[in-house]
Amino acid sequence: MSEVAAGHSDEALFQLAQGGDQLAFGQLVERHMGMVLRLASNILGDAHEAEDAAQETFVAVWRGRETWEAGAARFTTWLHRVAVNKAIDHRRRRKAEPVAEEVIVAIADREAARPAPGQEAALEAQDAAERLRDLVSRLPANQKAALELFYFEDRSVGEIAERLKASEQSVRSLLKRGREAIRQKIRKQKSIWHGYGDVQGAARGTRS
Amino acid sequence: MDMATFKARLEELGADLARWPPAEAEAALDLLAASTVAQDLFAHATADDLALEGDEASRRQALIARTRATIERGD
Repeated sequence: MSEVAAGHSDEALFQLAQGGDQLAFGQLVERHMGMVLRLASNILGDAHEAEDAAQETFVAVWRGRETWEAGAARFTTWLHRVAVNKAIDHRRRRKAEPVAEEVIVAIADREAARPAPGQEAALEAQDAAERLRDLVSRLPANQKAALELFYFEDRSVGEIAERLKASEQSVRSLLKRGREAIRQKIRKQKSIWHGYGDVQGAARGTRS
Repeated sequence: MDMATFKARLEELGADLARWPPAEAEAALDLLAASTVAQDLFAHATADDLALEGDEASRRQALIARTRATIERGD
């Protein structure tokens, strides 16, 4: 590992990184994360997804560091192109695959409103309900209570408010935050499913 | 979308595609996926936005500091 001077140019830092210097690369991550995040955010319009795309960008640049040649293009030109492409990949993947969390919540909502589904829909709903139940069980106690009453006991917001001795406004807020927490948990699971764990591990390695 | 239209829209609407009409945003994405020139223009527009925000943030910080100093002096 080298001692990384803050005054080094991007190209000098990246040449150190090409030799395996993770500290030098970490300096580049720190220097350019804001721009990469904004590029991703401009394309994706979603802060969480932009963070994922930004992280993937730096991991891809780290893994592909040997392909960059000093003098061929500025480091930032290359980095920004990778960032744009990663964000476009994310956006197109999102479009191609229905978002799992939306599907689960939609199915749960639909099934709550439709008591007699067909066999296939019933299985689909059962699977979604099981996943939903598992995710709800891991929420903070107050969100868990509100969502369980709403989804699994078919209670109205008014009934839940009475049961939890809270205002209807609070219950709506708990339901909203609970749903958002579930969406985040599913996003995390999806990331792991796509082998994202390795990516995060590699990114953590660059900061040591 | 051709490069001239992309460039004009970028100047007019900025780099945040959420502010673009959806059909034009999709056309811009097609161009961005295919053209490094478009990618570089997009990155420049994004960098300009960030720089402007940086100026505003530092002006805001300076104003806050001046205001606090005035209050502390009791002017």
